[in-house]
Amino acid sequence: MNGAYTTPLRIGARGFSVREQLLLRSLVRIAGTPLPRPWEFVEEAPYHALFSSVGVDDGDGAGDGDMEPAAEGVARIPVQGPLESERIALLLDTLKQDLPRLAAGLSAFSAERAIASAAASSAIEAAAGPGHPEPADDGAAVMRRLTSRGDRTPFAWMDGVERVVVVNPATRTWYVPGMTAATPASSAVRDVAARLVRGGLRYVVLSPADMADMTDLGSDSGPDAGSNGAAGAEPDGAAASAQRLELLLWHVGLLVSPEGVLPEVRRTRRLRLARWPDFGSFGSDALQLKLSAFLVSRSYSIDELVLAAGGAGERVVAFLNACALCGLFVSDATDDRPDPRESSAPRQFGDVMRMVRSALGMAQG
Amino acid sequence: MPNAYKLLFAGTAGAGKTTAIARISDIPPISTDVSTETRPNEDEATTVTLDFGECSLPGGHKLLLYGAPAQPRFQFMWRIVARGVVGIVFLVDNSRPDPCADLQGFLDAFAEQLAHTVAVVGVGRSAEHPSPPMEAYYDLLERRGLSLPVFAVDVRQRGDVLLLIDSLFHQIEAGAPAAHVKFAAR
Repeated sequence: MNGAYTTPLRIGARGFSVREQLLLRSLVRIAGTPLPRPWEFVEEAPYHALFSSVGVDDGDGAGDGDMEPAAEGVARIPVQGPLESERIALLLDTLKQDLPRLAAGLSAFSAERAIASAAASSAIEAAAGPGHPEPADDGAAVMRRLTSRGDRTPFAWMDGVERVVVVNPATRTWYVPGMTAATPASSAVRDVAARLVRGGLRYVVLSPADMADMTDLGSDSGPDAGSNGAAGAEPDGAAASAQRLELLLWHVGLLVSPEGVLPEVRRTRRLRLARWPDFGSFGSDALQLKLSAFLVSRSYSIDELVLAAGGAGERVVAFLNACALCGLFVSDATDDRPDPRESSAPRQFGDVMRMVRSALGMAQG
Repeated sequence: MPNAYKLLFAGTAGAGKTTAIARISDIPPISTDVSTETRPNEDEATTVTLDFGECSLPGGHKLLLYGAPAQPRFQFMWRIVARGVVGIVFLVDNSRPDPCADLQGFLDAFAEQLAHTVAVVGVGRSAEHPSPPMEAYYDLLERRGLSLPVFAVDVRQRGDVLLLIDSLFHQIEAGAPAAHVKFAAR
């Protein structure tokens, strides 16, 4: 016997009366006594072995238990019912022969996986508290939840039993369990954003107790570093590593729809930024700075903006999506295109800025 | 003929003006710090006159970096050093009791320059002191009809100082008012 087996052999019965099930249990107890592997009679799937009354659906999805193949990894023991007294002796003989063979030779890997999966589900349900866990979220559901302003209940996205990210809408913060001071927030947020956009993570609601280890960024209790140390300071431990929700929204927005414009952007005819994105926290590149400067100065259509930015349509769209998720757009921007006769920045300025950027090692705008 | 172009760093004592200039200057910053022992509310050695640094540009041109003295009693110097600047970098220390009021004071003092000069706000120590949030600064600017960038920065990081300067340039390129003001030559 494989000593690696730690779960008992799960034996079930479907399609039998209560009296017949009790009888079957007794028979199995008699026939299974010498089994080298522990076993138990269980009421619910998953099963390693299943007594199935012929003509009854065994729950394997075949829709009919009448000698249909059993679910993968489940050894089915068909029993021609009803269990009359003359059949009992015959069945007992069968069990005495079959059960040891089943226990020793059962290719139960599928069942083992099913059992592990059931355990994971139970853990998720426990984490979710009362009620049923939600199905896995796709990218659209992720965005909907992240941008929802109505529900302030803390929640997490889970991959199996692992919490990928915990979000507290009330304080507009998030954190990655296990993230330490040594984990740069910039790399963590990109990783989390990519996983969220990819979808397939399960949404669970958390209780206040689950959030006890999450620092409220709204408090002003941090130590004074004695220098101008905003971006460079790392919090101590996972409990102190909560980040602003806008940081996550920004990076999700950059990734969320490389092939298309978010509806929030598409339905806006003229786009104008109410304020600059916080590039000190988000990180930035020259194009994002350029686009921000354009969109703060006046309104643009998407086409005008792509043209002004010198192409790079996909990156422009990613930027717009990120701004939209962070709620940075003016809702009713008017068409304020300047008179084309107005001069743009004098050529001299362009030369000066080119020189300065080159001297300081900055990317050319 | 070689020209000089000026950038001005303004902010309260300890906001990081000297540090920011040191991160990008070709020369060690010339700081005219003096002891403030007689003024117990001020840093022991803080900039009471000017900080100065410079970056050499091709063709003999120079980018001059000025740190404005923080103390209100030197306010008369602010307008002098702000004359003809390419842009103004306002540095705010979020650990101070009322950093929004600090910024408000500088916006008042430089109101005339802001009508035709690009500017940016760098907020330091916001990680340890998240309150007030960035939104408070944006609200303040909006009430004054200004749409300046506000970034959480650590001016000990050269990249953060470059971000502040680059945002000034992008505003000019996008047609912000300063683009229509001739740069002053030294």
